[in-house]
Amino acid sequence: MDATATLQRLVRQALTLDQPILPEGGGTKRFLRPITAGVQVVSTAEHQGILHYHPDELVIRVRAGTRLSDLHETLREAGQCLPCDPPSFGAASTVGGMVASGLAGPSRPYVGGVRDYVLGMTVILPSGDVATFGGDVMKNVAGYDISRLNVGAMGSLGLILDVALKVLPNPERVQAYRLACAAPVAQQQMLLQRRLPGLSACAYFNAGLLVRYQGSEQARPAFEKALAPGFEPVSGEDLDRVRDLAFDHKGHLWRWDGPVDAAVNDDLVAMDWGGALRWLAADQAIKAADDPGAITWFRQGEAPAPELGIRGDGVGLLQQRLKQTLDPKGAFIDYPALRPVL
Amino acid sequence: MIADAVTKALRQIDDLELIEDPSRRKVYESDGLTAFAQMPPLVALPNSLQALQAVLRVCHTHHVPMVARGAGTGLSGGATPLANGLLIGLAKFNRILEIDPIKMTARVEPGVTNLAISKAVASTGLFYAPDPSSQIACTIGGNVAENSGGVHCLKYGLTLHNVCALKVMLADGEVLSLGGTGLWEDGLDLLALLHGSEGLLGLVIEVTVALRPMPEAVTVLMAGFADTASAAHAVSAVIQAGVLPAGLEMMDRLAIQAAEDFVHAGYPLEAQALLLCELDGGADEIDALSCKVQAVLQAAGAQSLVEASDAEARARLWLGRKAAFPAVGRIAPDYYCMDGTIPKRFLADVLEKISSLSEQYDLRVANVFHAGDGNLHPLILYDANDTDQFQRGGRGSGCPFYLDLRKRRSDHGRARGGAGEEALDQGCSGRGGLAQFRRLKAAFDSEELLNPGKAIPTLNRCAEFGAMHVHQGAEKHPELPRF
Repeated sequence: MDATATLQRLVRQALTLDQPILPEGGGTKRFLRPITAGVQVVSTAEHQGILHYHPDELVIRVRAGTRLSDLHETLREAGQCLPCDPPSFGAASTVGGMVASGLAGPSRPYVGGVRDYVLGMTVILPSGDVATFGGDVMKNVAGYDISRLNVGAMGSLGLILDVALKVLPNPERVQAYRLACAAPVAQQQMLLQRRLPGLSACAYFNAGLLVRYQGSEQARPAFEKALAPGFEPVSGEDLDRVRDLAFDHKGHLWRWDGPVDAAVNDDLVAMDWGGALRWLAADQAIKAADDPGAITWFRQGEAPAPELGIRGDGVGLLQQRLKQTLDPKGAFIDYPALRPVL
Repeated sequence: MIADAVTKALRQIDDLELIEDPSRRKVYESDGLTAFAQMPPLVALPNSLQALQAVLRVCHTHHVPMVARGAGTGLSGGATPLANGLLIGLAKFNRILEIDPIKMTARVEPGVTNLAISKAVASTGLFYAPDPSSQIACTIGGNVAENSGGVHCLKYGLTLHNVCALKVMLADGEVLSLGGTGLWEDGLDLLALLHGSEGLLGLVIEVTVALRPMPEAVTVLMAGFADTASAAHAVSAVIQAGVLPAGLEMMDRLAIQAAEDFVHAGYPLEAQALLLCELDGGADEIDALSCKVQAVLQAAGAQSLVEASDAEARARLWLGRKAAFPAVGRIAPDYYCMDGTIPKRFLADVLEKISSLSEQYDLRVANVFHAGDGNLHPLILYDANDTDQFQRGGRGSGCPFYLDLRKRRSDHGRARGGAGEEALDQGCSGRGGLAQFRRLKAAFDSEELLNPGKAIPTLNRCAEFGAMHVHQGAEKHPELPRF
């Protein structure tokens, strides 16, 4: 259903109230972006449907409220997939939510993240106007890449109405393997395996190193042979749990992003992206002085929410300047404060 | 003109070569888009980042506009000088700073050529995937500014998909590192935003590229077709079969003949269209893959089919494609290269329309392009000394991509405002889109000093802040065909 007119009316109405708008899809990521007092939620959940899909173009254009599961199903029927393999935190997950949060799954280092597959989008701007950026084609460098700027912007720059996504043919064969080992061994193996042809995931969870092959049936034996002794074929279940963060944690869940060869922290719950993304559980995010990574908030544990701040470095200041110039009246919510204040 | 006070201040900067002599400045009057030339009043070639920063600070203080230039190979006028601005050449920043074979990255200065990166890392079994045709000469800084693609971007993506971090210098000399410490950065994605921004937001001073393992096996298929429509349909058929070729290129008859005359690549001269399909992968899978694609090409009506699997034979087939531009340059005094991307399903239609425009304007057009991406490069052949031909070329060039305006094309054969009004594309549609572009620019460069007037019209060209002038050209030239 095309809810553009309704959504535009809601946004315009909200603009008159002087309370920032929080665009929301299925509401499955409220843990990451809580609804606070003085914020108006505008839901895209009714704005659903596939605008066009031509499998031989490798492009699909979908409305933001379309459920992620519906998108996956449509692609599966045509033998194609969304390579960025986004997490789902519930059946109500939408395409708009995937794009606005910019969260990508285990295949991120090998096939790319959400922004790598976004070709264009239509947005309700902070002015209340509707504008389209980018296009439906593989290359578009006319103007600035405002589409990709909206990926991961957490709804701070406007309300996403629809998105054009690049899709790819399904791999002929997908197979996960597991090696039971401790985290330091897993990290060593991760570094060794980075070049394996067909590698599409490399994660550590539940005392096991998980790798995934995707590609042709013919090339799979070579992949298996190149793995260290002790790997066993397994279902992709554990990798899905790493993707969807389906693990228990008493402390708050913190996200660590950094170099793959940085030392492993004691609070580690899981490693993903070949070691470049790590999930830590702790009441307080403690970073060693020599830790080159960056720690940000992700999900609350049992303790009360910690104090969080925004980036204060040069890049952070430019990001805030950009938000202020693109949304001068503060029509949409700010990008969230995710940095632990110690 | 640049004020004497500015020139004097620039002369004081250490590690900076200033080119004031007009005969030496002349080489900088245009980039690869030679139809738009402007003699720069002054050229600065800094030798160090300190010198570059000092140059930016002088210009910022004195409100002097700046245009950055890498190797000057770009075809969209990204480095066209300004009559009142400083041209800053970054080609001297040509060092490879670090190669990390474990993390599979290389950290390089912006003036390093695209091909030099792959050459430097070849011994580690890795390569840098984006390969624009000018890769032997174009710089990585320019590739970021233009978000360059190339033959292999169908499978491996554009520059954007292969860069993990950037260091940029803003108009006032501030240096920022974009891209975070891992694969994700807290906050708005400025790394993506810098790609394709054509030097309007900041100067790229360091690039960390992602490298990929060289594929074990590579093979190239060459298929000749009796008409361009069949070749265009074959392109769709290959993708539909679930194959993602490393490259899928098409050439039409005029391009085939020009290339064959020039380099003797062994192309079928009787063909009206030619497809070159490169496949890569593991040694165990390449044969099956090749068989599958050959069957698809034959079913799509290929009249000739040649496979080249050894390196020498592959290089010969690619030589014709890579030499196609200079080959066309041999058969006409000048050509104007358009560049635009369309949905693949319109390939056959658009090629036919380009052909009818070619007849209408009585100018030959050669087509050589990345068919797998729908990225067309019609080359309009003309003689610049013949004023009438030049004008027809200019008018004709405005047509091919407008003909597909309603098919949501992208057009990046952009030119700075003025002569190329038809080619000027705004990259957005709808109310307020252009205003967002202008605001975005202001957040980075509030004084409008970096490459002003390029790609995004400046205020003097676009009367009111926020107004849309998408079809300005169309209204001015109602006699031109708009499809």
